[in-house]
Amino acid sequence: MRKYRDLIIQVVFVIVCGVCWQLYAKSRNLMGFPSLDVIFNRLVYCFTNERRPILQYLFNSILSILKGLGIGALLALIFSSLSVSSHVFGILYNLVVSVFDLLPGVALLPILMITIGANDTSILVLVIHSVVWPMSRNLIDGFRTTPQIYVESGRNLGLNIAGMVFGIYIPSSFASILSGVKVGWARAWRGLISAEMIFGAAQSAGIGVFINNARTVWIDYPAVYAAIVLVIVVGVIVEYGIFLQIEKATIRKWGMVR
Amino acid sequence: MSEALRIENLSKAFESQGVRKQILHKLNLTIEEREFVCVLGPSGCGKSTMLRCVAGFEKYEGVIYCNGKVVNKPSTDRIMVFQDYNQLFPWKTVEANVQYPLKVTGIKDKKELKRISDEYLAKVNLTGYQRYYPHELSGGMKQRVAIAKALALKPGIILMDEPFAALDAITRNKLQRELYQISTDEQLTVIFITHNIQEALTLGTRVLLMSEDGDIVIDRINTLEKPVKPSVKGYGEMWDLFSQGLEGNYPRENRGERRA
Repeated sequence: MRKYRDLIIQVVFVIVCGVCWQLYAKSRNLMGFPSLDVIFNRLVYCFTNERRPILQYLFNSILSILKGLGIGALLALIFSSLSVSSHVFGILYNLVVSVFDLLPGVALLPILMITIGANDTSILVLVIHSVVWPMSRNLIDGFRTTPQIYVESGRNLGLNIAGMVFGIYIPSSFASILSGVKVGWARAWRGLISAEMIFGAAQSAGIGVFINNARTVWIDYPAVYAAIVLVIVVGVIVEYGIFLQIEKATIRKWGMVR
Repeated sequence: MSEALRIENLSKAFESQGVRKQILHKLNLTIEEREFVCVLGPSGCGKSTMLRCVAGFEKYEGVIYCNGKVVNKPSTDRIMVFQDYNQLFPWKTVEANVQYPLKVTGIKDKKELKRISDEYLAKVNLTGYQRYYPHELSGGMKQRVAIAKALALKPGIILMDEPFAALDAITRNKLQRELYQISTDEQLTVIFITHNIQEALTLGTRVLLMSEDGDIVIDRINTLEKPVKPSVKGYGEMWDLFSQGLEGNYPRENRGERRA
């Protein structure tokens, strides 16, 4: 019952915000503040018209982020496994993570542009950078807090290192891993869009480039808003459509979180 | 009967904050196949440490032979059942928890795995709970699964470190009766660590007492009539012997000797 009430409160809030937006936009008629129906129509137009192929841009962004997330997660897994199995590697990697985790990806852009160039590889490096450090933190925390009793149960079965990592450490730290992926994804998504906007013309232009083009080339503010809406929609889909479902199918089902 | 386990001159010391503490000093013990050996002893006497050495979890001085082979690492022929009933993997169902060790040891056939897990879950009265996750079970049920998991591997020896200590008295009694039944049916070889004299007398075919210094000071074959109840002949004397022993009053002339 409470759940429904909460939902109703949230829906009412969104409707009130929408009405306020609409009233303000209609009364002032500013170019930089289009009304909701204009934004919605623009979004439909962008979906269907060749001149604003927003889905193509979005697809490029999603492709970059999937590549980056995949590579970043793999690197984080390798480095984290090494740092729990070797003390020296562990203290060094901990230092590296502390340093780089504090560095915003966008701040690295000038260096990437000079060394790698304004291309997809730079973007990929940036996404990996946004993913690998927060994920490593979570993985290492998860591995370190794996209950001794699971570790000993695993050792009792004579599991080797790979068996221990995949059979014991990873499932036991699944909650931390998932929150690491969430943080990594959020940082990468934001980092990617910022980088695309700064880069302007990357080889395969993403949604950030679309926003920039809409502002500077096409001078089409409703399209800027349409793209922002799309960015938010993707975020919501990933949060509720993917992460929440994974959570329900794993750690919630296993009783590891409430 | 042939020998299942032989411990020779087992010594173990722990070091913490620069202080070395000798837990076990030249301990000797031989266990025959099909013996259910209960080890009593005051807290901190080293009974769990001995068990962990046998399991292969600890480095030690001396030699431990299990079925003739020297113990130097953990193995599925010495399976440990822990006190903590969160020893099951929460990410696996009851059935998968029992099957996982079997898979690790090389059984791949799904039907065969299912047959074995069903068989052993039935032995611990958990038929119908195959699909449950551990968090949906009570403490006693979790310990039953842990026992089924150990049994299914058919280990040479089962090592139980106070598996019932965290349970309430009623569940505990019930599990003791079940375990006694299973151990006689399956002719198990078990080392069972406990604080509880009643439990040791109920389950053990042989009962040991370790002193505070980590020596085995009482070693008795349990000849009490089965099933053991406080009313059976000789129970009171046995209970007194071990109760006194736990307080440090054991017959000194018995040190290290085995009285059959």
